[in-house]
Amino acid sequence: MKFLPLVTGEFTKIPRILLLFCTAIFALIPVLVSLIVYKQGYDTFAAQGLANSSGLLLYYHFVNNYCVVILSAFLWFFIYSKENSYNTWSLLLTKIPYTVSIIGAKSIVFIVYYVISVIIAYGSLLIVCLMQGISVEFRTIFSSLLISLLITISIGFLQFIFHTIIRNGLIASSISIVWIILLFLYNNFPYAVQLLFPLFLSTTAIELSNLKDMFTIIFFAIGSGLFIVVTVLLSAKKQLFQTD
Amino acid sequence: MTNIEIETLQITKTYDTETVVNNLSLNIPSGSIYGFLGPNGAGKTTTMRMLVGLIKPDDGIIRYRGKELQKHKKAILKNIGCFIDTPSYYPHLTGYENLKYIQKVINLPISEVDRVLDVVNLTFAKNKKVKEYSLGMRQRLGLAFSLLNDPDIIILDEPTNGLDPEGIHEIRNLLINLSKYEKKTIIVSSHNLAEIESMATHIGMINQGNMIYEGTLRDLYEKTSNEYTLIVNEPEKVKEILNSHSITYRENLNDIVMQTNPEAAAELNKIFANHGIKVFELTQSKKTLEDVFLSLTGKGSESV
Repeated sequence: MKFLPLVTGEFTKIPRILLLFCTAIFALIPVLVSLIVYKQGYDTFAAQGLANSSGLLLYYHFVNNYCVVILSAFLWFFIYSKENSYNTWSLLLTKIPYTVSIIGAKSIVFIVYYVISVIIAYGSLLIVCLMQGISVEFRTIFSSLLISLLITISIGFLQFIFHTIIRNGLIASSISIVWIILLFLYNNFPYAVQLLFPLFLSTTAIELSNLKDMFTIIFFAIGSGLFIVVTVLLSAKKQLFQTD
Repeated sequence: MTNIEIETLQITKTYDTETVVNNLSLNIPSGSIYGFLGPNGAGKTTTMRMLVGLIKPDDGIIRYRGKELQKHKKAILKNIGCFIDTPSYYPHLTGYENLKYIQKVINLPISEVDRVLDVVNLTFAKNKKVKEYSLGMRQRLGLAFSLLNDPDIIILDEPTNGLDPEGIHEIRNLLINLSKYEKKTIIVSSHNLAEIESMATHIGMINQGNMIYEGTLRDLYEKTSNEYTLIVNEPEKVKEILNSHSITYRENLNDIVMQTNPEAAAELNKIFANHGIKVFELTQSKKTLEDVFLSLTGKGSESV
């Protein structure tokens, strides 16, 4: 069995256009919201020396975290939880007895959609900056891009845990509200939690790196990567189908 | 000597505190149609899931042609087709696309899809989305999945659920032909005892996770059909003879029903003749599988 057909096979099972549409929407929402906030609070941003792409990006990340939670809930609902509602796990696992490969393929499908959302978001951000005459700091844009690609993605895999634990995809998606509430309460958590909990990694990385310190970003990216790998491996250990 | 295709040695599965399968030993001969029977919750599906490696037994060993499933799982599963848990498949894909997806993933010829659709008589609906399939069509699609790539062993959990009588007849003939002409080993569970009776060569009956009977249908009937109906001209004389031979019997309006074995029945027939008794009828009562099943699971009115 080859891994690539497994991944392409996963794409045939999901409503690709619908997911692409949602991915684009949830990629554009933080761009639009951050632009509106940036335009309305331009003076405040300018007073802080953030009247450039950095100011826009900082607010973008703030809104984006919430959007990633919702987008992840939506993606995992179709990529993973639908197998529960279709009761197809036993069919898959008797034909493809490699649980890690199946979960790995599903994770790659998620990552592909996530990367598409990042591409749409950063493409739009650049266009917005050019159209609005916002000065672009390529270094901060690059740092921000790395944070989005490598660190914020851990929020998506945190949501994945809900889908592996809760068989009903609708409930698993709905309780993503928990992450939204926790994100909202970020400042109330002890520093250790802010530093270690995957939900807060991107926010903490931005705070500590100020979109400049590459070492901090790489450090957090490694943490995020570890979390994703462990999550995928542990979920593959779980019994995927329902017993009576 | 019969070759054993699948053998389980005292497999046990416990969920929390409930033992669903208890020291179950199965011996499934090659080329047989093995009917797996048991009331709801008896542990049939759990056993079948263990047979295809979906769950591991807590204890015991499962062997396919002598090879342990846990050690050779991938190689063994290549040779097994199964239909378990009644999946609803991917409803937005056609039947053909559902099967094609599996073939693509496991890198085997797509042409196989048309073959299995033809075998299960579903070619006419190959381009129809599965969400538009009737329950019977989905069952056929499940069978098509199990027949993909021509496995030697086919494990089917309630494959005729939802099929109309014609569909049941078709599937039954299909399974009989697969066993007879292609020497497939087929394990099929069903609540429809008449259906199992009409196709199985061997049966295994479980109740509350324990095996209560395993063997050929013929042996089962011989072991359990120990009642003989007797119609004679002198019933009183017959009763005396039966009493003298300590044979249990009951008297009906027109006949006597005695409990004995085939050898003793033949011997008694001779004795009746020697006593000048005219025997108009001496027949072994034919129990249906349902009768046997109910009596073995303790739900019948009489014990075997």
